[in-house]
Amino acid sequence: MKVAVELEGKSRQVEFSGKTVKDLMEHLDLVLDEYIPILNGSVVTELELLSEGASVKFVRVWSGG
Amino acid sequence: MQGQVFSELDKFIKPNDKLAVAASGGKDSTFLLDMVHRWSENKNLQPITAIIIDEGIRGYREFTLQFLKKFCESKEIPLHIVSFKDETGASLDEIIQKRDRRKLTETYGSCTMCGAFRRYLLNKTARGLGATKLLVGHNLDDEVQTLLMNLFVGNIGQVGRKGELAGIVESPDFVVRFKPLIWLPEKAIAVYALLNYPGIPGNECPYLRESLRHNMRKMVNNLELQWPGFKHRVMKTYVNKILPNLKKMKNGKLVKCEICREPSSQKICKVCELKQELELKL
Repeated sequence: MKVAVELEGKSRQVEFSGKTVKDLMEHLDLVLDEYIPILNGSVVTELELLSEGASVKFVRVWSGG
Repeated sequence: MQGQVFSELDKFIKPNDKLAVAASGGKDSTFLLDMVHRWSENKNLQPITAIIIDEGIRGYREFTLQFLKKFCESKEIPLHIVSFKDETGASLDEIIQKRDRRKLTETYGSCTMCGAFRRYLLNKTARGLGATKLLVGHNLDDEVQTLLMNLFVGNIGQVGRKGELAGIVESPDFVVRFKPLIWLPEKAIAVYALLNYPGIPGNECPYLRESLRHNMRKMVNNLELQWPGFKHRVMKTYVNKILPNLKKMKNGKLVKCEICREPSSQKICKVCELKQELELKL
């Protein structure tokens, strides 16, 4: 499926085989504990199912306590 | 998450404790400050105070300090600001430049120096405020990284000083450090902060990427990916099996630094050693 991805301030269309946010993160080579997925404006877990045309933003888990 | 933190606070905080919270305006310490504030509201405890150590790291600290000031104002939490510049005559940026000019870059890492000064100032300030416990916001990821880093470089003494109550020796000069967040993953705290603290700065310390911790973080996150639950298992094994045995073996003692008279494991504390080497204000 094709989804819109925003990562590190850049947006692009990504085509991947899979159903979940986790599948998308694996496709993008993103480590689970290093990014927070935001699907259509809401924070979701990596188990969330995606649909064609979804918009996913990944916010990096920033260091610094 | 609140339940987890409240449970830790219930376990370790005594009715006569006076609490100081080490804060930075970052996600972990802001979450900690928020939780401690909420937890203490219905308890008969002395009011909590927050302490921030301003290292003077340009392009970084001024933003988190600004956020923390507003946060503390909104919760009516007194905030004590202690600066590197006032204590040493130099900001961390300037200390690092001095170090580099003296070609001591290999000897003193930026994070090592920063950590030494920050812990020293936190302890001194917390003690001056009459605090009986200094709460710090180290999370599960921080603790696992630190544990493994100390093991890798053979710093066994430090390995025996971690856990919820950090430190190995009881002393009137040393305020016990308590870490209520060590069972919480960094990502969970980040999500909480993103959702609950609008405007919380997301920039990172510019010196982060030159540290061993930066590489260790990646390694530990990749291990967690391969073996989900890795971080919790390491922490559980450490707290339940390794730490009790190390604490039995402990023979460390605190002395007073010959120069500043602050508690130290050496005749001259790390901060005074750095001040002498880099010709900072003693």
